[in-house]
Amino acid sequence: MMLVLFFFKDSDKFTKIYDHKLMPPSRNMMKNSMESLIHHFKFYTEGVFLPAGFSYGSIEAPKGEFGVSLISTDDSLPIRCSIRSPGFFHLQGLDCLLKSHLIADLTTIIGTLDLVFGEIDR
Amino acid sequence: MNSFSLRLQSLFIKVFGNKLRAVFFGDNFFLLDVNSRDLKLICFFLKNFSFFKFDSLINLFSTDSMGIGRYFLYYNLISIKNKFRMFIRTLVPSSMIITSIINIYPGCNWLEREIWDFFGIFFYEHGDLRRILTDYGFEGFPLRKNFPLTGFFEVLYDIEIKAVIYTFLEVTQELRFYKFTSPWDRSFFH
Amino acid sequence: MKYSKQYKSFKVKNFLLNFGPQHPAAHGVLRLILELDGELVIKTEAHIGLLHRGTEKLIEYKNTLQALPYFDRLDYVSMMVQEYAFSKAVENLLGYSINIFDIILRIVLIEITRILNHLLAITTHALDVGAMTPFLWAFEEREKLMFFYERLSGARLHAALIRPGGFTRSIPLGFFEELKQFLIQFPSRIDEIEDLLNKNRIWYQRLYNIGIVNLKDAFSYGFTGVLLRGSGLAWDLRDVESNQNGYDLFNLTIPIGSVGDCYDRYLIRLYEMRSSCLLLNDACSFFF
Repeated sequence: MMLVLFFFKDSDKFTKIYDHKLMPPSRNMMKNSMESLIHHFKFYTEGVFLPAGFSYGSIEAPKGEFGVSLISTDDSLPIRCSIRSPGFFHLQGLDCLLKSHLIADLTTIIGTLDLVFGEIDR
Repeated sequence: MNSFSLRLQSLFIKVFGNKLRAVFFGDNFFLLDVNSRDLKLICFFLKNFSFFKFDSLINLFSTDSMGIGRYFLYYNLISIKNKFRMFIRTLVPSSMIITSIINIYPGCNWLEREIWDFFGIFFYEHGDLRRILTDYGFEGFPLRKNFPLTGFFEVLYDIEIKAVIYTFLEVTQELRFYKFTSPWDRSFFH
Repeated sequence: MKYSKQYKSFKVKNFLLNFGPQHPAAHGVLRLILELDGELVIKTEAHIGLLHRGTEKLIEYKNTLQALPYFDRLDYVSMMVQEYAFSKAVENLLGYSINIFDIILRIVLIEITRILNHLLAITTHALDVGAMTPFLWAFEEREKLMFFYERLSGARLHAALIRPGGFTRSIPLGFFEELKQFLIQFPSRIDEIEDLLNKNRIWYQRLYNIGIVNLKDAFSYGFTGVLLRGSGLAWDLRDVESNQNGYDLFNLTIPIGSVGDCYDRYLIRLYEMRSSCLLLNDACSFFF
C-alpha cells in the first residue's frame, strides 16, 4: 500500500499513460520536447489512428447491456459506429408485456422498463 | 482460449468444413462470414442446436463500406448457457433484398425496420417494414455514404404563414470535412 | 318475436388512444397508439424517433476524441457508462490494455453512475405511480453524487472523463475521502426510501404481478439487464466478462427475482444500489 501512496501523490504519473499514440502528452512535456510537440499536434488535428478491423465494447449499464460496435479502416475516422442500447429492446417488448393489462398499468410498466429516449432514438 | 471456444472451433470445422469462414478472436468472441442465402438456415441452427444455443439476438446493424461489396450486415448473438458471444457477417446482394429472421428471433423486428429506414435494405418476410426513426414523410436513406451529413431539407417556422414548413436546405458554410491521415500511415497491404 | 324487433345489431370497434409525445408519464418523447377494449389494452404500437439526433451518422465524421461526448448524451442519466463502452471498443480495436489503477477507477465511476441511475429510475417510477416524496429525496442524493462528477471532470452531468486509454484528467487528492463520507450516510437514505415504498399497500397492489416477463420471450426479444434478472436468470455482464472488466477483483452479489413482475424489478434495483455501495467501499479501501 505504501507504493500505491507514492504513486498516488504524483497523480499525473499514474493516470496519464505515456503512449502518445493514444493519449496526448501533458502541457509541460509538450512545451519542452520536440517529439511531444509533434505528438500533441497529430493527436489534436488528426486523432487516434484506428487500424482496419472490427471490435465490440460492452458494459452492464444500469438499464441492460450497452454495446458499441466499431468498424474502421486504416483511418482516424470510423466507418460505422453502431450503438446497442438496452431501452430500444425493452420498448419493443412493451407490446408483449402489456397484453391483457389495464391502461393504468401502462405507466407502471413504462416506469419499470427504465426508458430514456436519448439512447432509444439516438 | 477457454475450452468452450476450442470445442466450438472443432465442431464448426466438422459440421461446416470449408464452406464457412470464421475468425476467432481468442475467447472473447468470434466472427463468422456467411453467404446471404444460407443466413436463415444458419441462424436457425445456431439458435436451436443444444450445444451452441445462441438464443439471444443482441444487435443487428449494417455498414456501408465503399468497396465492391457495398453493404454488410452484422448480427450479434449471445449464448447465455455457454456465456459466449458471436457475430455473423453477411454481404447484402446487389438486389438489396435479404431474408428476415423474424421467425427465429422476434427481437429483430425494430432492428430490421431501422436498417430499412437508414440503408434501404429490404427484409423479405418481415411483414411490417416501415420507417421507425426518421420523420413521417422522409425520403431517402440517411446512413448511406452518398447521403450528405447535412441532408437536403430543413424544417423551420415561417413567420408569414405562421406554420412549420419544409424547405430546401441553405447552409451559409459548407461542411468542413478534412482528412488528415497521411499516406504513410495507411497500410496498403491488408 | 317481440324481442327481436327491439334488438339491433351493431359493430364494435376498439378505441384507439394516442398516448402522445407530450405526456407527463411518458418519460421523454414517446408516442404510443393504444388499442383499447374499455380499459383493457389489446395492442400497443410505439412511434419513436422524435428525439433522433443522427448520432451514428455524425460519429462517422468525427475522430475518437471528438466522438466521445456524443456518448454522454445518449443515455443522459447514466453518463460515464456509455463512455466506458466506447473506450472499451476503441481499446479492443487497438489491442490496448490499460493499467490496474485505471481499471479500478473506471469501476468506481461506473458504480457511482449506477447509483445515480437507479435513484432516478426507482423514484421517477414511483412518481408516475403516484408517490411524490421519494423523488425529492433521491434527487438530493443525486446532487451529492454530481458533486463527485464535478470534482473529477468539471461538469456535473456530461463528464467526458473516460477516454480510450484512460482518463481525460487525473484524480484530485482527497477524492476518496469525500467519497467515503458519502458512502457512510448513503445506506440510511436507501432505508428511508424503502420504508416508504416496500410495505406500502398501494405500491404493492400497483406493482405485484404486473408486467411479468416470461424468460423464453425475454431471450428472443433481446432483453438484458434487470428484466432478465427479475425473472430468475443470473445474467450480469459484469460477472460474465469479468476477466476483461476488472470486476473479478471484487465480490459481486447479483440479486435475482422469482416472479418477474414490476415489484421484483423494483427490489432488484434497490438491492443493486446497496451492492454498488459495498463495491465502492472496497474500491476506496484499495486506494486509501
